[in-house]
Amino acid sequence: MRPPNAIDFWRGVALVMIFINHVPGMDYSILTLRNYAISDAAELFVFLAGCSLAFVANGQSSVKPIGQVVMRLLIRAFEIWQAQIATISVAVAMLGAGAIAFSDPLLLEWHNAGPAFYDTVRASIGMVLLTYQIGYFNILPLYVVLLLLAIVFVVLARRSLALALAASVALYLVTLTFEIELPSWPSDGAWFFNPLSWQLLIVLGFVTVASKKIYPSWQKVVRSLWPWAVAVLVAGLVIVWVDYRPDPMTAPNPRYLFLFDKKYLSPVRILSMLAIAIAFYPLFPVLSRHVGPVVRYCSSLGRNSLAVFCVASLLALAGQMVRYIGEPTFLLDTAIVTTGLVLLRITAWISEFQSSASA
Amino acid sequence: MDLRIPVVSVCVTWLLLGSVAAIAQSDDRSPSQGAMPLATPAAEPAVQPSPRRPMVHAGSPRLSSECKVKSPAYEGRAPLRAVRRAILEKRPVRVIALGSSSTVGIGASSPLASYPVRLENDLEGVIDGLRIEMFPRGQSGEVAEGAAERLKAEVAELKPDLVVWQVGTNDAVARIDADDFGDQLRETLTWLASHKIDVVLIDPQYVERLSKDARYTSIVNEIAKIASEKRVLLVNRYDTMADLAREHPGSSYLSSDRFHLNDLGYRCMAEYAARAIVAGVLQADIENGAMH
Repeated sequence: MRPPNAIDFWRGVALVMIFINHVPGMDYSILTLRNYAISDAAELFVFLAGCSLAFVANGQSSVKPIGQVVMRLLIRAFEIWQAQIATISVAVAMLGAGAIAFSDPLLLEWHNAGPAFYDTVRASIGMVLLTYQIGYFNILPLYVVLLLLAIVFVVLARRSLALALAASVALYLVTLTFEIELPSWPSDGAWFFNPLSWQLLIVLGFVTVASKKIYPSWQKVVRSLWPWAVAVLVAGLVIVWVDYRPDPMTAPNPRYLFLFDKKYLSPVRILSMLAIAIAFYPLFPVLSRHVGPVVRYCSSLGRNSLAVFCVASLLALAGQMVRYIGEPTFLLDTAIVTTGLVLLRITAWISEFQSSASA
Repeated sequence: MDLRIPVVSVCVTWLLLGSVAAIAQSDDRSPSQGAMPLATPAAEPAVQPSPRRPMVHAGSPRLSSECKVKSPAYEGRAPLRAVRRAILEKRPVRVIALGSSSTVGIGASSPLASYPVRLENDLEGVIDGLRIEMFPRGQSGEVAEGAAERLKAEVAELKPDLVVWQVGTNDAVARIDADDFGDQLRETLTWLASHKIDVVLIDPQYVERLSKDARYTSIVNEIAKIASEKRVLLVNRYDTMADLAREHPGSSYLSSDRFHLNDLGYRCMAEYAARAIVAGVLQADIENGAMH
């Protein structure tokens, strides 16, 4: 088990925020990033996935053979695919069980779950292909595609980090300009998170950490950007508080470059995420010194992010169902959050126990 | 089962108010003309009926016997000007059916899945020269401002003439405060109106378990209040399904035809929505698009 580090810690923070955000309507959502910045916890999670990708791709000390790296990424993508199939299956079963237990057909249509019950033939195919997603269970399909795309960028980065970044930016711009998206099926529409644009965030995370190793002055540069990052965050805070959003009908083309769009990950969301990364980068050592238990708690979640994410998604759905079946009160919400946080820690512990037992 | 009926033309008795040129002018999308109210209160038509010939010929979508209930199929009287304009311009009417977790219609196995297709067929069957391009879009689960953002992005992308919006279910389920939900809905309807996009709202489903749930019904009531305030057509799914539940006692309980009421609700919803849309187009025709 590795000791707490900044990436694990912030990933744990993102997981807690995702858990809270996935039970919409709770007062506790005021604690999450989306109330204070243009980007939210999903961006943080993906950016940090990019940061840890740099360790997978480059190793801590020596450079790993590229074949080994590619194999590692393929296996990871496969693990996440399995996790998605398992998680969405449990989610669908939970909704079905709830519908039967409470004689409530509405549960069968929650979050686009309808096709799983009413068009099972197609939905079961779509589930395996990842083209059938239900609301709040759409980050892992994104992650699978991001890891597969990352293979290309990691290979390019072996030649030049700038080349990998340029390729990623080019794909991003083409995607936003021509509004290319991955189709949903059997439901109409497109993926909730567009992997072709979100790949830039994972590459930026990768480049950030990889540059630290290559360029000795990198940390100095990042530190010098601190005041700018804070300024961007303050501007973002004001925009969120006045609830400003550009009108997509009047935005100039290519409009996704100018909107605050989450599906396409508009540039302003990336800028906000980078500003958060730069502004909060120096905070981890301070937190480690003063709030050790919190840091250890979040880091344990972050270290076991896949297992924790899956359980968090299901706990969030359970939380939604409890609030729906019962009468939501602050006390109930507190119970949901507390139970969730305890169970997430237990999940991390079991996951760590499993990996140490198999090591 | 095909629920459509042969087209029986409803003869709108008013004669043409203006010439074709006037209609072309009426179709002008200039913002200065857009500030007019979207509809007129049911009791008093905004435009005095003048003798003229209707531009749009529409039959009356018949309700299948099991969908006939006491509550009105829809509320409000609002002109669907963008839809009428598309019909007159002889181009397909682009419709986003939002909130229908619909699948591609051909061979769809359930009423839920085939609702947009049914609506499309019903409408094409009763309005002469109408072609519909239907874009069914499920809702991702986001509530309040998240859902509004996504709706706006979809609308900007697809540029529809009409949004048929099953609104409020996610918010009701997530127990969102009715006032917060209402503010967001009001803002989104204002935005759609400012871009001259017609809208028909469909309120949440009736669920027996929630019939006395104050939070759930407060969202339903909020939608009715705002629909009337913003003068948009509202398909009364909640009330009509409640009627259906009374008329088909026991059907909502688990049985061999479990959740039958739900299926019936969807089937009837398409018919009610078709009626509302036809009425909206005829209303626009009566007003002759004079305000667009």
